[in-house]
Amino acid sequence: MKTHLLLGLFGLALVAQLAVPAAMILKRERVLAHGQAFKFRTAPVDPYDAFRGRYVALGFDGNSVAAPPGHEFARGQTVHVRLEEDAEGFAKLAELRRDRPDAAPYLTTKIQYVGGNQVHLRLPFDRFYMDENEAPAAEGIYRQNSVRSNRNAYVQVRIDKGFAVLEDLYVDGQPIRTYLADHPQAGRR
Amino acid sequence: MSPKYVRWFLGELPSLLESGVIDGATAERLRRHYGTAAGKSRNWALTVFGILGGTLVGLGLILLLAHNWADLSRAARTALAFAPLVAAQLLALWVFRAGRESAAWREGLGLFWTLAVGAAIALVAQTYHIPSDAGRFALTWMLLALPIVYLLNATGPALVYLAGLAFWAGDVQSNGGQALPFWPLAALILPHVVSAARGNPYAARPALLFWGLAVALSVALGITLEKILPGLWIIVYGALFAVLYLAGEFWFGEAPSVWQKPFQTFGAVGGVALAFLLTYDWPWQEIGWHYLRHGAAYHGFAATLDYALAALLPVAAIVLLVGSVRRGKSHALFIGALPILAVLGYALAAQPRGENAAIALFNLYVFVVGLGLLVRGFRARRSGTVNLGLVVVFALILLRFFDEDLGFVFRGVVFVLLGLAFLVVNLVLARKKGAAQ
Repeated sequence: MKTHLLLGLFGLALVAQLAVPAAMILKRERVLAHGQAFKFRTAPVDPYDAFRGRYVALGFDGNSVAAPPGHEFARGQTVHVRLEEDAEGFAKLAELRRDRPDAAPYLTTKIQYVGGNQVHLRLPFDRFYMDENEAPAAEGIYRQNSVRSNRNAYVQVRIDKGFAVLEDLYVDGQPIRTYLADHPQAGRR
Repeated sequence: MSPKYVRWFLGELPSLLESGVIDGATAERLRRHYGTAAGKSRNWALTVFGILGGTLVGLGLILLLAHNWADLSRAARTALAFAPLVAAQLLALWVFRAGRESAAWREGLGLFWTLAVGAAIALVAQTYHIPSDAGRFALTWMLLALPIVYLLNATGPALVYLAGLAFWAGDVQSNGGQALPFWPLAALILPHVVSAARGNPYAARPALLFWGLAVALSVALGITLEKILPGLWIIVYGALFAVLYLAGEFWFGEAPSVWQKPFQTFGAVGGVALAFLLTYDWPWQEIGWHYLRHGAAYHGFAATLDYALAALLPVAAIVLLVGSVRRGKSHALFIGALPILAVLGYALAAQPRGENAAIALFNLYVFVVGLGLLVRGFRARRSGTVNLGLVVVFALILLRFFDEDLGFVFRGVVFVLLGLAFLVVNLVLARKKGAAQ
C-alpha cells in the first residue's frame, strides 16, 4: 500500500518535472506560430545571467501610456494594454485597461511604476539571449543603433491573447545574427 | 572521536583485557562500537564526495547550456533541456529499484536532479527569451524540485528548497507583491526535518536542517512582515531570537558542540546583534513616520501576521524563559529578556523624547550581557566564554567612543566612571583574595 502510494507520487513528480518545461515550450511555440507580429522600437539602456547565459538587455521608448481617468493604478499590478501600429509600422501602446479587450490586439503585462498621469509598463521581453561569443558585439551594435541620433534597432514580438514571445532582434532591417555575420567588425571594441 | 584516537583506543584493548579492567565481552562490544564508528567516517567521506560530484556535474551542465549554442535549432534545444532531467529521473528510478539507500547516492543524485530541473527551465527561458523574472523562475524550480527531497529522502535538496523559497520571497516583496505563501510552502519541508531528527537530533543531517531552518526563518520573517505599524519589527525580531535561543536550550540543551546547537547559537548571535543595533537612535527615530509599503504594495491582510507575531512570539519567549529558569538555567535570562526589553523600549520610544531612554536601556542591556558572559566564564574557567564577553563589552565601548550622537563630556564622564568602577571592584577582589590567603 505504502509502496504504491510512493510509486504514485514518484510518477506524479516525474511527470510534473517534464510537463512544466514542456508546457512552457508549447505555449510559446503556439504564439510563435499563430501570434500576430509586432515591431517594438528599442531605446538605449555587461548583462549576464549565471543560469541562462549572456543576453542583450533591451529597453523601450514608448513603454508608457496615459492612465484612463477614474482608475487607480499601482506598481506590480497586472494590466492589459491595447496595441496599435504607428505610421512607420511600429507598435504603439494605445489604451490601458484592467479587463481583457475582446478583439483588438493587446498585451498583458505588469506596471513598472506610475509617474503622474503616465503609467510605465514592464514590457515582457527585456532580454535577448545570445551565444556568449556573439553577445558582447551584439550588445555594442545594439547600443550604436539605439541612440537618439541613430534609431535603427527593433525587436519583433509575436503576441497571442495578450501573451508575448520575443522572436528576434533586428538591426538595420536584418536579424542581429545575420547583421553580425555581414559586419564582422561591427560593435567590437 | 577522530579515527586516530579510535585506533589508539582499540590498540589499548588487549592490555586492558590482560589487566582485568574489562572482560572479553566488553572488549568485543567496544571493538564493534568503535569499529562501526570508524566505518561511519568513511561513509561520511563518500557522502561528501557524492554531494560535491552531483553538484559540480549539475552546475557544469547549467554553464554549458548557458553558453547558448546559437546554431542549434529550437527542437535540438528542447531535447538538450530535457536530457539531464530525464537522466536524473532514470537514475532515481534505478536507485529506487536497486535499493541504493546510501546517503552518498541519495544526496549526490538529489542535488544533481535538483540542478537538472533548474537547467531545463533555464534553457527554455533562454530559447524563448523569457523576461527576467528571477523570482518566478526560482519558485517554479523549487516547487518542481520539492518532491526530490521526499523521493530520495535527501537533505541537500531540502536546503536548496529553503534558500530558493527565501530568494523568491525577497524578489516578490521588493517588486511590490506579498510573499506570505512562503510560510505554507516552507512548511512542506517539515516532515523531512521531523523524520531526519527522529533518533539522534544531534547528527549531521538534522543539525544541518536546523541551521537552514533558523537562517530561513530569520531572513523570511523580515521579508514577509508587512511593516504597516512602523518599528514593530523590533518586538518581532527581539522575540524571534529569544524564542530560537530558548527553544534550543529547552529541547536540544545537551548538544555537545556549538555546531550542534544551531538554534541557541543563531538566537544568541542574532539577539546580541539586534541589541547592538538598538543602541543607536535610528531604529527608534524611524518609528512613527517610516512607512515602507503603500499604494498597490500595501496588503492590509498581510499585516495580520505582523500583529499575531508581535503578540505570540513574546508570549512564547516568556513561557520558555520561565520553563528554563525553573530548570535552573538562569543564564537563559540574558537572551530571554530581550523581548521584554524590546516591548519596554517600544513603549518608551512612543513617549515624547523617549528614544533616549530606549537607547540607554539597550546600552545597559548589552553591557550587562557582556559582563554576565565574563563573570560566567571566570566562574566556570572557560576561556571561550570570557573571550566572547570581552568581545561584546569592547565592541560596545568602541561603538560608543566613536558615536557622534553623544556629547564629548557625557561620553568622557561615563567612561571614566565605569573605568573607576572596574578598578574599585578589582581592588576589593584582590583584598579579599589576600585576606583568604
